[in-house]
Amino acid sequence: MQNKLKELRALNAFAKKQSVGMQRKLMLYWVSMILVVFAAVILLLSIAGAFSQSDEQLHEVMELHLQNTQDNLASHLDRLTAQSLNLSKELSREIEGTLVQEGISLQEVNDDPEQLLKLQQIMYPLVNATLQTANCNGAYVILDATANTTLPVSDHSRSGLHLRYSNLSASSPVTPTVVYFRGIPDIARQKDLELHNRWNLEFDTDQIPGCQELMSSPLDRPAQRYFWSRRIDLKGTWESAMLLCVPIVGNDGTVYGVCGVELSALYFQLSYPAVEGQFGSAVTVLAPIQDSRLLLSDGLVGSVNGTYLDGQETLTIHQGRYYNEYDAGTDRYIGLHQTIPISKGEPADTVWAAAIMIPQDSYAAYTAELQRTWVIAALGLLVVLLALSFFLARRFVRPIIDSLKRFQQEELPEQGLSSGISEVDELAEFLNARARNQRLEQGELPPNIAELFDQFVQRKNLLTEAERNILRYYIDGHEIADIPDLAFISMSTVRKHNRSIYEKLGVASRDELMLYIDLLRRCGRLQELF
Amino acid sequence: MTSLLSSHLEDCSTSQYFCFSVRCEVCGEYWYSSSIPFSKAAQAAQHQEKKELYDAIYQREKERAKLAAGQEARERFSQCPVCRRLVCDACFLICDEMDLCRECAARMKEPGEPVAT
Amino acid sequence: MKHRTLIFLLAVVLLFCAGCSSATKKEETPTTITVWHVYGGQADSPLNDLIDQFNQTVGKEQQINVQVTSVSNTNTIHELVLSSANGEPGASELPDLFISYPKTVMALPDDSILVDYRDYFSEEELSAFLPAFVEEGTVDNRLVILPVAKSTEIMFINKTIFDRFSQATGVTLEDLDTWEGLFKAAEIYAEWTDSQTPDIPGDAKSMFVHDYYFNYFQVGAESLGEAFFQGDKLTFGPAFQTAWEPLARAAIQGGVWLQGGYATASLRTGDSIVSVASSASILYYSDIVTYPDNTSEDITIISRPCPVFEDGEKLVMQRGAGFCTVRSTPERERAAVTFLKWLTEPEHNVEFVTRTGYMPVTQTAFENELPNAIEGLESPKYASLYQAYLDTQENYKFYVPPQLETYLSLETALEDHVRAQLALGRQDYLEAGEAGLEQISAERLQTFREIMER
Repeated sequence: MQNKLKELRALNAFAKKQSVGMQRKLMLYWVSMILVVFAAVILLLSIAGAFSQSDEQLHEVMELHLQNTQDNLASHLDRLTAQSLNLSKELSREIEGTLVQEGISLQEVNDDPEQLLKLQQIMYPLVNATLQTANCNGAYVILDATANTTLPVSDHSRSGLHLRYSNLSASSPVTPTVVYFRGIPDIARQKDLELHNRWNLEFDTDQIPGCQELMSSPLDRPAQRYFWSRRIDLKGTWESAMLLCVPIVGNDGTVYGVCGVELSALYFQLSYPAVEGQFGSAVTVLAPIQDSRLLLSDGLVGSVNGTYLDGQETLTIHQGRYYNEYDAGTDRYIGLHQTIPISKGEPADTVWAAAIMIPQDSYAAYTAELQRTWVIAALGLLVVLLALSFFLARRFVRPIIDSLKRFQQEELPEQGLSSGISEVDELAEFLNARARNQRLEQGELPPNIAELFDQFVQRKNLLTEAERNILRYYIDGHEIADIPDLAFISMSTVRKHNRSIYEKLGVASRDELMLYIDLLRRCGRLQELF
Repeated sequence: MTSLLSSHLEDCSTSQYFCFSVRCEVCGEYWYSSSIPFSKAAQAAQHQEKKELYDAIYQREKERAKLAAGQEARERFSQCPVCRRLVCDACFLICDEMDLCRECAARMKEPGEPVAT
Repeated sequence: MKHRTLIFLLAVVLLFCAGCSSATKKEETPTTITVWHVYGGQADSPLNDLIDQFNQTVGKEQQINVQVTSVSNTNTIHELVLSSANGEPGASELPDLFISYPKTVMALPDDSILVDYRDYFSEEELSAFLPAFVEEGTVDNRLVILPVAKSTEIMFINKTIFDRFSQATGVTLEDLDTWEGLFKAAEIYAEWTDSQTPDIPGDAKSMFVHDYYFNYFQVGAESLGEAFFQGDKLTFGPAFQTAWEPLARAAIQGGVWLQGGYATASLRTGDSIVSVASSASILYYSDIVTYPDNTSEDITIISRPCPVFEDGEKLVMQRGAGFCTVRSTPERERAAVTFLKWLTEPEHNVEFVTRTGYMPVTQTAFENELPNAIEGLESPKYASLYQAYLDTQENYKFYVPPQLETYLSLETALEDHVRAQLALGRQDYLEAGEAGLEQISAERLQTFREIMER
């Protein structure tokens, strides 16, 4: 470890000594600046809430959805309550009428199956009408009387009628089959109704918590006290339901019994389909809240399409800023809830809530998707910025490097040739001037003569290959007379070449030519002629 | 060039004059060198007894005349660098890349100007 | 230059990733398929438990969620399916899976709305099923009904009350082995119950109830060697007469339950004590009888093979509908078939059938799994049922009703009118007295024939 650290330090020191390329250095500055700006932008965006936008959006969508759901639920339950209250009033009138006619009290109906049958026969049309008109899947009435008081179960067995729909389906068939769940079978036979597979003659009031209490205390009017039971399993069947319990109040305030409607888990599921949204499937829930837990097993759950809810969970509520989290132990859901008053005058103060929830997994998938888009966009931007910085650095550095390269080739840029960067031009001029002075100091040719030489060298390019061949003999020090033997050409040919060589190089004689050659040789520029 | 030319010199001398000729291998024309008189032509005819002496002189002068003819031919003949033939100035063209005989230049479609007309 | 290309490529790759990633979002949600079935009615449904089991295991793995949206009976489903297939106003949307008899498929305006299972099952997979069952599910050369469970008709007896009756009158269980004996016993039962309350005349109780009198006549006629159907009408030959007489005598004397509804309902209220019904109705028999005074009695239900005619062949109705899959999207169809394959695996199939009173549909399930499952049955009610089942299997021939388009309407008409005519006969008898018995029976048969032939 120590060694490695040392090595690293050594490497760092070495790197510091190394001179770094201009472009790389510039890149480095660009990159660090981009990173700083990038970080600042990210910081600003997160402060401005760009990343919690989906939470906010979810909150808005869910708030709206919850509002709708609650409105729906409230008006649905209100209507059912109103219809049940109405049923209660009519039942009360009919029961009283019959009792008066027979000249007996309700107590005397006990142990009298015939009177019970008579009462049930007058109650049947009312219950049936309520079932047919209300948005529910069952309607019932319980009389505070039983057919046999001698039985051990008689304290919680009560005579009554319970009609239910048997074949509910998602798109509400117009004529669902009514089955006879509780009541005297003679009525079912008269009305040609099928007995429910788990038919019973009487209700077991122990199955409906709060029902006994409702019947035992006198009341002024039914609306004074009514309640929705928690979801109860309908004994022996696969169904469970919530029952609206409304007292049937007589003129003198005696409670004759309880009546109301039934909302089964299946019916609720069919009435409140899950709503597919961009965040996942939203499930409607109506359930009591206790110790900040939502008890689904006591309430009703809408269609759970797209989730794994089974309607039996107890959800622990964690309040959040934008939404609440509902923890079912294995699965988690997010959503919102709002309390909804559905019962009245009930001593046990159960708080009911309407809630909507979506599986956290699907929301997490959605946000992960969003995050991925952000990360990819940010990375993309970063890459583009880096590419841009690379390109700009290159563009900036290239003319400088080019001019420097020209310096290296001792080809000092002339006055007219500008690099486009004033500092470089100044440097070039400075170097030029210094080079000129240096040359003069070293006894070199004055500039005008050098110019002549240059022109001479330039003109050389005008010669043809054949002429250049001849010129090469001269440069090599041969005389004219030597040329025919060397080049295997006649003297006239040589002369003819000479003439054009002189003309092209701008010299008058061979002597002048030889002078140039000589001078160039001395200046060390002879190779320029080749 | 000198040795090439001397191998191409054909002897046309008489007992009085020395003369040599070179034939252009392109146009076939003969060129004759300036004739040089044999300095001892008269004496040689008169003094038969000194014939051997004059023959020797004749040979020596002829060698010289041949060298002179070679020098003279050097003015006019070039060797085509492509076909290696000996050509006269009229048949030798000055071209840009390399001087060529008329026939080679024509074959290679090289434009050029003859050295002499 | 190299760098620039590299960066460009990188950018392209990143953009491509961004483009692809949005396509993967929907994977999270399971495919939900809906089911209408008949296993359990309003009682606890063993199939629902199996569906839960499927959803928790294979369903969770393969993102399939099976949801039951209706549990009723085949006739209700028949009507719902027809009304929605015909696009009648107010009809429900068809589920992905529903239980049906061939008669429902025959009555469909267009049976191409159903999946041909040969598209999803290999020949090898299909050969695992008992060939007769596959045959039964084939309509117009398309396998549209997949057998999942088969039943037969079984006689259920409220043994607690029957024993009491037997002790008092000497009628034995063996007397019920023939129809003649059974209806004789019903007459005796009616007399016996009537005499228990001497102060109330005519309050005889019924001993017997048949779920489908149509099946009684149909199997009866066929077992006596007479074709029951003639084209799309019924033949009222001598065999029909033979079947009518004992039934009518018993019914007119009050020994037969004639009101509508399922056989199980009258056994539940003690209004009858013997029934012939689908073995699957075992689910609906309660172990309690509740009387009008709200007293109840624990009873034992036992099963026996279906009675036969003295001169007839031992023939019994083969029943049991199958699953139809409605054409939808390939994913949904595949999900539905995945569920059906799971349900017909021997292990699950046997668990399912033994809880619902059915027989399995695959050879392996029959041979390997069923005997073990029967041994393991804890409920004496079910043990008795499967004993009767095995007896039937051994001694009876199974009768499969023909595929007739008028089958259902004939069935409904006969069912209604037999009950109605016999009930009227009972009324006549109560008014006319003992002497008119034969005449009333003959009159009612006459009226019944006239109505049916109309």
